[in-house]
Amino acid sequence: MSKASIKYVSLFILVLLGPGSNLSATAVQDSKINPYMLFTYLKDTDSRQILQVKMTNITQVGEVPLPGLNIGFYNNEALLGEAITDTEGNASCTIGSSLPLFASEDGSWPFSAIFEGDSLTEETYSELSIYDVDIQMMLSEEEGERFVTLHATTLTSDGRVPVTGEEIGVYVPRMFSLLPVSIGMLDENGAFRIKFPDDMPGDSLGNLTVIGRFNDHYLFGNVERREEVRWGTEAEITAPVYRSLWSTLAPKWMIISLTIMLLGVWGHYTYVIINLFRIRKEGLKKKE
Amino acid sequence: MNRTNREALLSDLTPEIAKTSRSWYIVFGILLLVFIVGIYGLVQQIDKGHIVTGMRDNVVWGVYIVNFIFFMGLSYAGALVSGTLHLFKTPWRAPVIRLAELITVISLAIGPFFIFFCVGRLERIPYILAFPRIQSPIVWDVIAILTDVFGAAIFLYVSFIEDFAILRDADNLQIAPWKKKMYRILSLGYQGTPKQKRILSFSRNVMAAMIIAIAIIVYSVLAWIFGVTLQPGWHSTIFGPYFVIAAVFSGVGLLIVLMAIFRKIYNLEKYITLKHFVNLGIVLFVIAAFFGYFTFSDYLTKWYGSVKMDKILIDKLFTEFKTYFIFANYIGILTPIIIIAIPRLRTINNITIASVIALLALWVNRYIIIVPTLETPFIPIQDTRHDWLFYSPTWVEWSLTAAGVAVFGMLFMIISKLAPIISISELEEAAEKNNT
Amino acid sequence: MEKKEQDSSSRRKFIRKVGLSLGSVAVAGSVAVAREAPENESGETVKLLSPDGTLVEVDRSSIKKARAQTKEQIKKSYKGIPDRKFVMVIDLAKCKNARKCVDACQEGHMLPKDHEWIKIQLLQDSELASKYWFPKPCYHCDSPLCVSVCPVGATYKREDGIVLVDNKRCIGCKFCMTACPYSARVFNWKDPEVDVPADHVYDPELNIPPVEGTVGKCVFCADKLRNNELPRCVKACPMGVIYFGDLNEDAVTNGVETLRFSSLMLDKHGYRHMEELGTMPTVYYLPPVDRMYPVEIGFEDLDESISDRYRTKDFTKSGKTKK
Repeated sequence: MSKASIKYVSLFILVLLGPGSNLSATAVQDSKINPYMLFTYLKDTDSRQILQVKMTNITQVGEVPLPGLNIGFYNNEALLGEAITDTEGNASCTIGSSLPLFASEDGSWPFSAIFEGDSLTEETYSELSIYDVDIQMMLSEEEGERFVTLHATTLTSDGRVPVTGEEIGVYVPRMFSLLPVSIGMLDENGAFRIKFPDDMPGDSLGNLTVIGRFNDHYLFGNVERREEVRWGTEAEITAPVYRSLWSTLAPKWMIISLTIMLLGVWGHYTYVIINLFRIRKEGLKKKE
Repeated sequence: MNRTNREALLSDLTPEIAKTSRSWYIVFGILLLVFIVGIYGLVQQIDKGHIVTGMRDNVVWGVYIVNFIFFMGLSYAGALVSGTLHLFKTPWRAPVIRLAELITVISLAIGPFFIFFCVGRLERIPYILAFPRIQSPIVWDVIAILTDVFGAAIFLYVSFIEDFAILRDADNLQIAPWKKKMYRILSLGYQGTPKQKRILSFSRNVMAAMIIAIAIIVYSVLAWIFGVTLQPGWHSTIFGPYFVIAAVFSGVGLLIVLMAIFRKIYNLEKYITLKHFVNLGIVLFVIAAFFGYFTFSDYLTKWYGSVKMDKILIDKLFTEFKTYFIFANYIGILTPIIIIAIPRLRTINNITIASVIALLALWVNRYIIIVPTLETPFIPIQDTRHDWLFYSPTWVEWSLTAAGVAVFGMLFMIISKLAPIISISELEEAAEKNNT
Repeated sequence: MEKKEQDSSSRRKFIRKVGLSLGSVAVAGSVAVAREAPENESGETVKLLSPDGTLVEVDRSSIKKARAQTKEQIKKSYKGIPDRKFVMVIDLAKCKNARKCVDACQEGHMLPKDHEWIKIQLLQDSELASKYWFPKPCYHCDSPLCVSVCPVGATYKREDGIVLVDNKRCIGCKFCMTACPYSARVFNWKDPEVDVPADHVYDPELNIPPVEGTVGKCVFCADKLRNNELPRCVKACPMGVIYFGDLNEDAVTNGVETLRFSSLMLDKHGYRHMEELGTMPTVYYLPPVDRMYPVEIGFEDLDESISDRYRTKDFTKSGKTKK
């Protein structure tokens, strides 16, 4: 085995070991990956309820996603569905709306995600307890100013009651993450109202998506309401630079002056070479 | 035409073409050995990678680039000197003009190889022609060098035609038949008819003018490779003219050294006299003064203004590189000036020694332009292995440098066996003028 | 014994290299032949020198396919991601030289250990000012001198602002390294000796494998960006020092918090390093004020070979330490 491949195998082993493990080459073969399961709940804008799992191996060089693991999703004891993690270690399960969910005594839904373990990876599981909540979002324009109003309600034995004193936020989605526009507490009426900034960049038409959301909430998980609206500033489409020092094409003056110089010089060369032929011709004539 | 004069010239200048001495073979053999060592170094470098050189992530250009600029400088200077001497019909030019032309072509043939040695992937060199970006000074340089190679070769050839004709017609010359045949083909049937003479002389004038213009442009382009970057010590508007002057300085120096060598070994004392040394010495004097003035004004403004990076660079030059700096910019410039300025010191030996010092000083001057700047980047060198901090050339770089010098010598030796090192026709012309 | 083996392997390498340059001529020829031959001619094999020095026969069509794939990747990498303009913000108040960014970068790009695309400098602006840690990736300048000086177009700036290096084109002249005022580029001085997966298709956005004799540098993890993922260094940083985002969207994130770029610049006085050089970097810094850690913490738990790297003043040319 070459030196380099030994290096990489040992690096791989290091990755397998994860942090805090003692380096011992012989013990390595038997040890399994101890995965980390991130279990989240999302109620999206269409009121679909989705259970999500991200399986990773936390190593010294960061989180390594674990693909190809079979995850079982449960409500109490009942299996809701199974999914296999993708290349990014994600697996999800949408709960069928027709299915009546089991609720515990306090009214919350107990969910769990279980990975049974396999030859390489240790078993693991994670639990969530979610209270159902609904968000209404209202976008309004008053005297040229834009407002977002959120209302959160939850169903109790007394019927629909407003959710009060919990943290909620208004977000806009960006390339890598959600950008919080404003985060605050729901008032005694279960309402949260903010003025939407008028300088938020949208797409080339000024469209953007506004999200009202409980973000990673300790009682509700992720619950959101989305709406697309033309409230953004129009993105400036900067014209690509065609001719510059650093683009593919050179500035015109460069091409022109180079051409002139080269033509000038090579023209003279050609003239002299032609002259050489004239000398030769003259020499041949003389001989005759 | 004065027949006896030509015969005298032939008998003085052609023995080296006809016969080859044993010492020639010995010297050639030694140079060949040096060359082979260089090839071995190159093989090592291709095999193991540039890790065998002293260059690392900060000093990415080292002795190779120094040699490249140095040889190109010699070449442009040769062109400039021969072109100017020819165009202005300098009366004493006859015995030295061919040497200057040969310097041009031979160093031009060697210089670019040092760029090849410096390039990480040798086999991709043709990409420069396949995918050129004309915004890049390297592309300017490639175009310029190719143009210059052609120009210098044509100029050299045009100036050789008359001599080839003379050698072809010299019946009692004892040389190998293939050489005779070569002269016959290369002389293009030149008979010295008035029309031929007119065309030839006009062509030579055109080429001389071209070669001067190109030499200036091309060496400026080379300087701009450094000038267009933001690096302290390189980013200077003076760099174009500064490099041109520096090139002429080294070129004249080399011309004097070669004159001294060939005068001695080929017994040309009759033709290359003290007068030529003094005249070229005066050229060297003037150029040295200019060069010193440029150097001074470049460093003075940097030192006076003392921008942070300039100050760091100058501090480095006056501490770590002190010896180099003093040799390159004091001794190298003042020695020729003093020797030429005092008439009593103007002997052939002294002028030659001054030229050797000027040559070496100029090489060192190149070195302290390249290396200290690369050792003082804007963001201090950190978070890198400390044995990568400083540059010192390895044996591979030195062996290839030596090989370059060896090839220069070998090519000169070979050419001196194929054609006279002094232009017979020019001498003849000069003699005719004296007679009338 | 081991020495001998090494010798023979280096000889093979040499043969491989020489073969490569000769081979490229042969390939050009074979391509010309292939053009005339009908398409999809299977069964026809080509003899190739494999990386371990043995001759193997490969189906010609598979070579053609791999080459076409690489070409496709390179073409794609020129384009960039439409309507994006990437920007990085580095909060100097949080950096404590944990070096996780360096490790993640080296791991992700298969770099040798002495080869950093992101470096952590220990800077001190003036004598009486305090020192601070200064992570330094490539700045992906909007007026990139390195791109301007490249003679063959091996390094290029895309519409989304990223500057990439195509190490199949790079000739290794190192001009870009001298042109870059930030020393962002590194050279592969020797064969990096990495084991690349057999089915790996070269892509300048990832730039694996590193090629001997060519230049490498930070690529803003352009491969990750294609999947809307953050660059490796951003993800790896335990302190959330590095923020990354799209300037057109006016948002940057360090993976934990997402902020408006404009308000970050306003509130914390963002600046670009050495603005006066006019290269217009797309990497911004937040000044090292109200720091979370003293500078000395950065030296804790460092390997001696690493901590030595910050004592450069103590080393002299002969390689010995000053007393």
